[in-house]
Amino acid sequence: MLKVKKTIKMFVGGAFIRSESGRVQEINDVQVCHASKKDVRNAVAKALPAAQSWWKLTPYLRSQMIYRAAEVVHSRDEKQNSAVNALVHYAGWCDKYQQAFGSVNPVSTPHHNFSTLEPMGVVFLVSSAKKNMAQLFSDMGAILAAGNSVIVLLQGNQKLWANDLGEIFQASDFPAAVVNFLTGDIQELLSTVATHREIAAIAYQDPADQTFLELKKQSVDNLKRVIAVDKKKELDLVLQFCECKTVWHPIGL
Amino acid sequence: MDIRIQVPGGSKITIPYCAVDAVGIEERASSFTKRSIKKESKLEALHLAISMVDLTTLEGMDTEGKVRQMCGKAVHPINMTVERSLNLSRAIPSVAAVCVYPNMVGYAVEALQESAVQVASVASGFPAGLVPLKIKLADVKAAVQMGANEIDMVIDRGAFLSGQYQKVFDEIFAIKQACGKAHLKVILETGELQTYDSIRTASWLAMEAGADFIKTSTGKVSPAATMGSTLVMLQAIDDYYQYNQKMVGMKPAGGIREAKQAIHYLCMVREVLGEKWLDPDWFRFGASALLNDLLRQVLKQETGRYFDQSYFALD
Repeated sequence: MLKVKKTIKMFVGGAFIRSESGRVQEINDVQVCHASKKDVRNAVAKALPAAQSWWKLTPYLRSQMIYRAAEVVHSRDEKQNSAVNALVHYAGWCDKYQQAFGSVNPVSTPHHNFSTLEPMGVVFLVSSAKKNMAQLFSDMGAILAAGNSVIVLLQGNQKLWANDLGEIFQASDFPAAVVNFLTGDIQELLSTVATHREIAAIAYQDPADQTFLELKKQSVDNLKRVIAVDKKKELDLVLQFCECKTVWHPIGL
Repeated sequence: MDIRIQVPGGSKITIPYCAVDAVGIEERASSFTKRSIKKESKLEALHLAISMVDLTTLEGMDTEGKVRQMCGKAVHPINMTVERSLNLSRAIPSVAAVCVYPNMVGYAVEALQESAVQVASVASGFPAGLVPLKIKLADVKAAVQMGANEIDMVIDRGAFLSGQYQKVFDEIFAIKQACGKAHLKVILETGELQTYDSIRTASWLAMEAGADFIKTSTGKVSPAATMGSTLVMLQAIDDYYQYNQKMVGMKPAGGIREAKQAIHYLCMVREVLGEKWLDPDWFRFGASALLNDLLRQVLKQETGRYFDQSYFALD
């Protein structure tokens, strides 16, 4: 049979795209796109408005979409049990974490004082080649359940997943650009990701890595949160990707 | 076919027919999107583009407050405290003008009196232009009286497309007289003219009738400004200049939202018309969202970082 050379494309803004730089890399005889700084910038430009429209949906609908992603993963590969479990778990939290962790606060002035959890905006998730797909879905689930949009940077052999992952989220009826996959190397993109003020947080799967510290250093500019997602408990993780807003509302006279 | 036009109170003139090679135009227009403008040249282009913006608000829900706010932004596109804290290599310029509806002209004039920013008003039954000439003239005169230095009029596309060129000419001619000292920009609404040939003819007609600027669109019709239609108009301006030694300005409006696009347009102006036109007196961008992207790119060039939207005023 004729051998067809595949190019695995990135998934940005609901479309499968090549790197604007035109660069590709070969992994196991397969060509993979190699994201440039400009690709990061373009992805952020798409993910930012998407974050706003994702948060505007009802929590119930967000939950349904994440659950649908779990269904699609299951229909593609029945052995991905942990991935499916993680997605279903976070799908459930979409309309619950607010009641569980928002609060009405006791204050001594005539105010109704309450705290609610809001999403941060665009979260950049740097995946580690050492982690498996279930871990990736779990981290993404937490970010999405909190109402953020996510740009995932796939590294190492994970780059080969880009097509499948893109198809899963495209088939799950997610609004375009809520979930984006780039394939590349964090070393090259580090300064752009760290200093880009529209990226609200960076999630990092491998905090033992020297790059994690470097990201933290360069991110001080806009007080960006650089979050290690390796050992967090599941619910902690949702809260990590929220901002807490406290409102003082005058009552009575 | 050439069109013969009777100039009111004067002789007959000819509007030459020129068949435009649509494929060639689009090919050439797209070639301007492939230039690589970097570093100092990019910063220069961004500054120039900011100084060429006609900051526009043309909504039915415009209020005095919104117009005043926009005028503040027109003079100081970035909050001055923020600008000072960034230690930029050069100051961010003011934009060229604000563009508003006639009822808003008074507020804009008041807000801009101590600045060099011009006040442009759309008039003449904007955006359709389908009102009697008498009302168009009254509209224009009122805007000028309230202090507008620039008038953006629309041509009657229905008349143009049905071949009533004389009517279109007469209206532009009369409105030019009504403008007095105010500059006249003539909006062709290229999105409704159907062909490049028509855009070329309408450009020439407007220039003969006294337009100081020709402008692509109202922003209310899609497609608004495109590289192709702008190129046809730039070529018409160039030919008109060769024949008559009279410079006419150009204003693409609508749909130009990114700094990158603005730079493409500047490349096009530079190559079709030359450096003389690279000046806010001769080239403008009708835009609103564009300004924030230009500012963002300037800050990126100067600081190496992308700033988030919260650094820039929305209107």
